Amino acid sequence: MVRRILFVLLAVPGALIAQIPPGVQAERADYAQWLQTSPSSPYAAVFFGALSGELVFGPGAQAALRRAPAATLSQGARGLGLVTESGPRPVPRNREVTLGDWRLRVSPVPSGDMVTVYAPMTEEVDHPGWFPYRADLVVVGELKRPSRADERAILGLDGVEIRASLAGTFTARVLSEDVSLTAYRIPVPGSEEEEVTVFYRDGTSGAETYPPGRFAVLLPLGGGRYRLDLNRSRNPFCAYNPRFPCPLPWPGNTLQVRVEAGELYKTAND
Amino acid sequence: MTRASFRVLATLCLGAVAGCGGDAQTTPLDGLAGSWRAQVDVAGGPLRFQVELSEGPPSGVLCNGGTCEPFSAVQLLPGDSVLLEIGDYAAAIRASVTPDSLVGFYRNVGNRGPRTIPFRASRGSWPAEPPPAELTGRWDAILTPDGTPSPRVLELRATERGLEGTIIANSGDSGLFWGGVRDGRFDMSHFDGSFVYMLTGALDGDTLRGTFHAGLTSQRPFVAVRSTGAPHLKAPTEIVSADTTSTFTWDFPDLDGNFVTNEDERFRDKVVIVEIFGTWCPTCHDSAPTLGEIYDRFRDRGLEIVGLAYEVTGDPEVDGPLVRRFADKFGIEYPLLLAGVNDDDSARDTQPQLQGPIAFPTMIFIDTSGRVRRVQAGFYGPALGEVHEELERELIDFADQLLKEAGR
Repeated sequence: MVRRILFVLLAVPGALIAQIPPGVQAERADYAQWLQTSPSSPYAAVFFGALSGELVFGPGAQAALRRAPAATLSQGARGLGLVTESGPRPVPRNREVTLGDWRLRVSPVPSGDMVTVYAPMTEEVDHPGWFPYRADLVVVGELKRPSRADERAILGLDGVEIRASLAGTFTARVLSEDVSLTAYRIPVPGSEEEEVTVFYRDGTSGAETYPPGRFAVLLPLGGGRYRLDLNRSRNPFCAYNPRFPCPLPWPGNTLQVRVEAGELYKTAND
Repeated sequence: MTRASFRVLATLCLGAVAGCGGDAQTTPLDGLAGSWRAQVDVAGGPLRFQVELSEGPPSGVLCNGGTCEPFSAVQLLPGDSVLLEIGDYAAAIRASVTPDSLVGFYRNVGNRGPRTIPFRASRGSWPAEPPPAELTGRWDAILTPDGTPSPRVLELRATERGLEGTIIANSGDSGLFWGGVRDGRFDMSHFDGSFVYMLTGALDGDTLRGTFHAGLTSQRPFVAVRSTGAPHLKAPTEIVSADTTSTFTWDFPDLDGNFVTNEDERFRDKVVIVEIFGTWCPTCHDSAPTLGEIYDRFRDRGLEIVGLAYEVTGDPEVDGPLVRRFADKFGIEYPLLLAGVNDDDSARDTQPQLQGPIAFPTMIFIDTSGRVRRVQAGFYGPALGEVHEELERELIDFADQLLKEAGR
């Protein structure tokens, strides 16, 4: 089932609504197009679970995978492989793999492998909704480094557990509130990149925005200063599709103010 | 992770982002031909590179200093915009066109959705900003000196284009970086459509201090001191080790689906070099000509080479044509086999006789008894100049030595 997100523009009395910068506009357009059309859009996921033993696709498989082309995914002597009617083939981790017009991705996690399976989308997906752009919700603050290194497993945007290192505490003034947000460095698989990320809740969580919170990335400005553009706050994938696990709110990362910026959470049933 | 490491991006059409040119018109570039000073704007500042566009069939190249790679497609789109596709990495630059500027975005797609970074270009070429002599040379660097330290070697040199060099890790180099020095600070970049890397910094007495930038937001500080010649990185022969007590084996399909094994007549009683490579790995493109040179020199004396390709999808219908194109590009006459996917676990699972992280490329030298005699992890490409030439000579000499031992 594909959940629909309505495109909603809310009027925010007294807010500093500004023209949306081209970069943010382009980013939103790309993201919307990806959500709507990509074969591995979160909306297309029909299965997300641990690979224990083997995962069977096609007739005889569990209901979610029964319409897929016949295949078996398992860890064999020669590594992770997919056996299809045309023979065996190796399967890379962290990469999209085709199975007919289906897709799957195996993500390594500390406890083993997680598998996400995507079926062709049959329902139209509406645009994600965004609050109007708010220039006063782009804040600059300092990232205080932690007194000692801390690395832990956290759930990323895509619900996959990943080892992230504590980046520190980001302090800034958001509207009328002095805030302190715990930030982690989340690595981007397959590259030297990492994103200093906060997952936060605010006064809109559970109402206009997704209840467990939203992700936002800090942009370094040098000298320990970072910019947090709350207009770029995004929902975890569980907001689009209940098959993805949701990250728990990060302790302490709850703002009292209403962050009327970034991605909304509205479904057709609301 | 260096460019010899894994890339996540599939070599698939970037339909959702770039449009793959499906609705594009192949129209002339109408005055866009020429040199463009290009940059993507990452958090640490402008990351500079050069774009050269040509008339005729629209085409162009993306240059990092003296190294240029062609765009997979250059198309003028309706609405006065241009699309520069970097097909190998499912990436594209789309920009609005005015007579003297291109303004738009670079885009590619990762596991968590698209990445969008502002791009702009103006007419002309970036000026050469030569570095002072005290900046050039070899530096031993530690990335994130007060975090989890990670050793690198910085190789910096002055060229007619300004400052060029590369970053070397245990598993290979990161390709050619280009840049210059202004007001006592240097910046140098490597942009290939997948990797968005920049190194910035300045001399502080005898120490080089700066930041390694990756992508839009990643920044890791580094400190470097001038190399004394003492080893700072693991030697390429120490990264991967092999079981030398038994015959090194392989059994994988070639591009026609026929299995090729170490027991085939072709390899019997031969000195053999097995190369673990991938068409997605730029360093493997650097090593291919060296292997070709070795093959040309020694095949008549009884040397064979086999390439084990670890590709992006694991699907022969997708990976096969990429490997065939790689063979055609370098005129490779030895067999290339589809061994697996470029996933660290997969490579290890299919090579149980190797221990340690598998670097791309890795060359395994095997004597006529079938035993491993040397494992060369990573490769120093032409961006390293004399270091590359020295390694090339070393590998040629080692192959020659194995042949001489066998009386060839």
